[in-house]
Amino acid sequence: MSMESDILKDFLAESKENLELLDQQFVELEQDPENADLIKSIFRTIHTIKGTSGFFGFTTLEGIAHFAEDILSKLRDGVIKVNEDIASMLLKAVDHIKIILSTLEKTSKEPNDLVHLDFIVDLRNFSEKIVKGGVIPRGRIEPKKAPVIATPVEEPAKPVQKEPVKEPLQEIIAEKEEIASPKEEEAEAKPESPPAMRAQAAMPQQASNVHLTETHVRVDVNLLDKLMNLAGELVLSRNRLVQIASVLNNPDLLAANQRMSLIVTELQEQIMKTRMQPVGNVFNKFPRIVRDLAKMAKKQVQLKIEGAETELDRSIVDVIKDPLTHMVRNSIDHGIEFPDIRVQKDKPEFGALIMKAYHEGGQVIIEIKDDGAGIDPVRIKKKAIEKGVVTKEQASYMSDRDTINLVFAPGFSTAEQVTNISGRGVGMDVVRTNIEKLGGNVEVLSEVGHGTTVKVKIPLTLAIIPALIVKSNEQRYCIPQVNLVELVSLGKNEISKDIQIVGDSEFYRLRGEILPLLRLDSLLAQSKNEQNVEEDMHVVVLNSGERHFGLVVDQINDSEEIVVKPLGKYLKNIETYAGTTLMGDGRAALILDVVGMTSKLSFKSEESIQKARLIAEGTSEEDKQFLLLFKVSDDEYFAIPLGIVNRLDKIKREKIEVVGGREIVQYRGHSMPLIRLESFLPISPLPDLAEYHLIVFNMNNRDVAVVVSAIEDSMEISIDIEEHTFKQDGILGSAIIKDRTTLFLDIYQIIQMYDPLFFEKSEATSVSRLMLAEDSNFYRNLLHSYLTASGYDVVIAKDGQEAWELLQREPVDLLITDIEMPKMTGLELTRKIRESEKLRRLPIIAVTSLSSEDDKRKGIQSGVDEYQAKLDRDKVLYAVEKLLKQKAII
Amino acid sequence: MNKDNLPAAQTTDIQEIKIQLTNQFVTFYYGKHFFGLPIDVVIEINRFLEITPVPLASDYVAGIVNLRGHILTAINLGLRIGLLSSFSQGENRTFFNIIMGNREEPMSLLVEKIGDVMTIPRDKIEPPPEILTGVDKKYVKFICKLPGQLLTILDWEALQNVN
Repeated sequence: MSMESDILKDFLAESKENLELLDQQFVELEQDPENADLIKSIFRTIHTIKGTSGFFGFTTLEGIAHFAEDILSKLRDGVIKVNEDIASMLLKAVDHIKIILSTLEKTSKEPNDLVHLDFIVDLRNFSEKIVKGGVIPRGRIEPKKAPVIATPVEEPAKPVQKEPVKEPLQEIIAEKEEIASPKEEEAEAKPESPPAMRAQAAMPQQASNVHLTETHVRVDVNLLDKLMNLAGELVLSRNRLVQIASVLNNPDLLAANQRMSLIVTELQEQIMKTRMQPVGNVFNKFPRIVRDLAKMAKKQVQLKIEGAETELDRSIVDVIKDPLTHMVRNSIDHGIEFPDIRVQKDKPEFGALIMKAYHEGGQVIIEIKDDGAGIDPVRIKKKAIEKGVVTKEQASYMSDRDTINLVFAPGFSTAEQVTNISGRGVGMDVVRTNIEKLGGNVEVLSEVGHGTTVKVKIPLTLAIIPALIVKSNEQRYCIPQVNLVELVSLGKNEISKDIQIVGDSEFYRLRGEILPLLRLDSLLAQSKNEQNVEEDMHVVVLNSGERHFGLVVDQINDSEEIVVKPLGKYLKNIETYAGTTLMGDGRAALILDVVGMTSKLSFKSEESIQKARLIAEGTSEEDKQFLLLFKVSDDEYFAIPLGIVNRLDKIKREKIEVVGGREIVQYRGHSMPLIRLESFLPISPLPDLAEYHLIVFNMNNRDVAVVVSAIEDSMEISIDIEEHTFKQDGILGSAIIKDRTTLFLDIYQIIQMYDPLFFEKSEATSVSRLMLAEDSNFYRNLLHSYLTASGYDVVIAKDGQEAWELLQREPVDLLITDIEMPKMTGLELTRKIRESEKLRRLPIIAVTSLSSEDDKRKGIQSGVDEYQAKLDRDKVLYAVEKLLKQKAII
Repeated sequence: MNKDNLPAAQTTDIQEIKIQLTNQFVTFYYGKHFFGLPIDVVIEINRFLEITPVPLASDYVAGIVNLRGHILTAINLGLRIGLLSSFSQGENRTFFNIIMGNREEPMSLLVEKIGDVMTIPRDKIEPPPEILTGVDKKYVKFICKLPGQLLTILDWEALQNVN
């Protein structure tokens, strides 16, 4: 309802202006009767009024506009020419329209006044006449006019008039419905009726009294943009003044300045608001669209609109219409079932389609929801395979949610056959692209049999956005806050521990998640500053919609509201930038396009990671591991978990020094021992190369590196290793990776073989007994290896049940347990131990391949003392040591 | 009477002809090269605009500048038209911004020195010769042989095109 009244308001505001213009145009037309453009413009105005009043059911208004349009169309087609009579008749029509509009404005109803009905008849006759006999000679009306005006008796005439007037009006309406040629019947039957004359006479003074109240002014959008710019400039000038004032330190000036600051801020906010428009401006087009589409699809649909008053920036309102239309089409065409099917399914015959807009967290959410058939993942998969969007294999591993999102894949359409409405193959991918261009995103939620909801999130405005200012190479860049996930500052220690370098790519381990890193300076092809190891590293974690990544910048400044300005034509093709803006000091700065930037993120490993993920879908997260694959000689492949690698590097052969029979290299200011694998394993030796790759480990705060010939790849894969074929010291086992037998190194054992004292603690600890409960061979061996290397006596259990049984017999000082295990999980085991009288004081460390905050909380709740990642050797050992010490004190 | 009037009339005629047949050019220097642009193409000349560099852009794009709230792209004239002449490549060279082009999206042309506004008779304005040294010919609209120097009138449309 409120929407209808909004439309009415718009209609009134628009018509009023146009009518003011009409007065002027008619006068011009009299002077320049041949001016076709002028006639066309008048015609359009009247036509619009006719159309809109028809929509609202204002019959009188429609009638007047209709016949005025009739006359105008003759003028336009050159059938007749303008003369004074025609012009004054039309002007009278305008006057009538004005009176009706002003009544509409006050009461939302048409005036119940016969004057207007009389005029319709009059206008109609006039129209007939000029069509029949061309231009009416002036003289014929003139003489009659005078007596009528003179006649003082107007009232008695009225009742008599009532009947005949109603008739023609009904005719008019009837005529219109037929849309046949509107002027055939009873043309000359109508005499020039006195009431018509009276109306003519009465009009002028009435009309001149009508002052349509001005509540809306139409303003050129460019003017608003300019105002916006000026307000921005004002902010800059203010900032300078503030600086000067603080230097001068004059209290009066400071106070005056402060006041001005407030006003300027408010001014800017208000100007911002002028650009806002209700979403209703787009939504109100949909009742009609839905009606037409439903008719075409032979379905019954009831549209419900909610939150039409939600405001959005004008530029966004313009852009979202097409994507919304597309989604509504999809809902009607693919979602909502035919009425008979709906009845069979116990649903109301009318399908419900809801368009809803609301604010949430600084964004506007638009939902398009239907209660139709929903998206059937099985059907989507079938279609996707047919269209070659995914392979059969990939599809079989996909979750329902991922499957549903296939509708966004390019070249996907599910309509069984191409219909008039949708299913032309350009579809949701375009919708998604368009929404993402606005800085928003789309999500589809669907339940088979119950319907589909498409959720579109868009920013409030494109003109002013909150952004984070960062610095790279002394230049400032803005990053839209929508994309921002978190900020991380890494000290020297974290850099050496948590940053891994694989080939040319860097990764950062953020709470178990492997985050690809992009350096802003190298992304922008700026000469790379010599990396200063001592300096902190600033990482801006960003969300590009598809993935998270870290952007390394030189400096992180404040967050600011920035005014977005477009890129010039010379810069438009650079996808790294989204726009430009002005900073507080008046300098221009670039806004980074987070989605555009990620196109640079095409790691070689990306594809293999993706593939591995698909293949491994279905196996638990636990058993998957990022592996680094490398070679020493040509045909032997090795793997180690990426998690234990500190970094990868390259060295020239001549850099290798031999000291005391051992090879070392100067690395980051100290000597780092180098290990050749062939010295400890029965493998082909490292060939002579000009340059070698180093896999650097950091243990006990010491760097040590393995020299290899080539780094092959890194991939995430489910680890299923075979222990027996290659059982020997330094090898955990083997597996087939990419059709090749790959050996898994036990790096802890190799380091110990290289230097038995490497892991030796300075303070001799009495040998403690630990129990290790772990179901995966791979991890069990790995943990066992570094625990024994550190001098602990380790008892092994293959699952929780076995651990529980062993604990009854074997006294141990500490338990290290995996969480996910068959028979009894680590958490169950912990609970059991905590309930047991004998064992409840046993220190327990839970280890997992991934440590998320959530898992951690669960672990602590069940009574675990420490929670660590399996591959983080130093932390696990530290935790063991700490707990053993605590136990000793107790 | 007639004799007196006639020469007077003639002079005005000649003046009119003169006005019709001259064009005004804003002139400027880049290195030793002397260039001009028709005065109606130039919007304004500005000395102090701080340039924010735009990495990844074409080499002739010097950066973006703020002209009273409008952000314009600054184009380095020398790099744009491929000047071969050797000039100091120092970082701290100051440029003049010639703001030019259409009012919807003007651009800033960076030049080294500003000359006078010159009024040049039309008959002195010639199409460029077939062979031009040091300058990419597609950016040259006309040349004028002035006493002591050659004025190259740049093709303002070609300058603004994105290639």
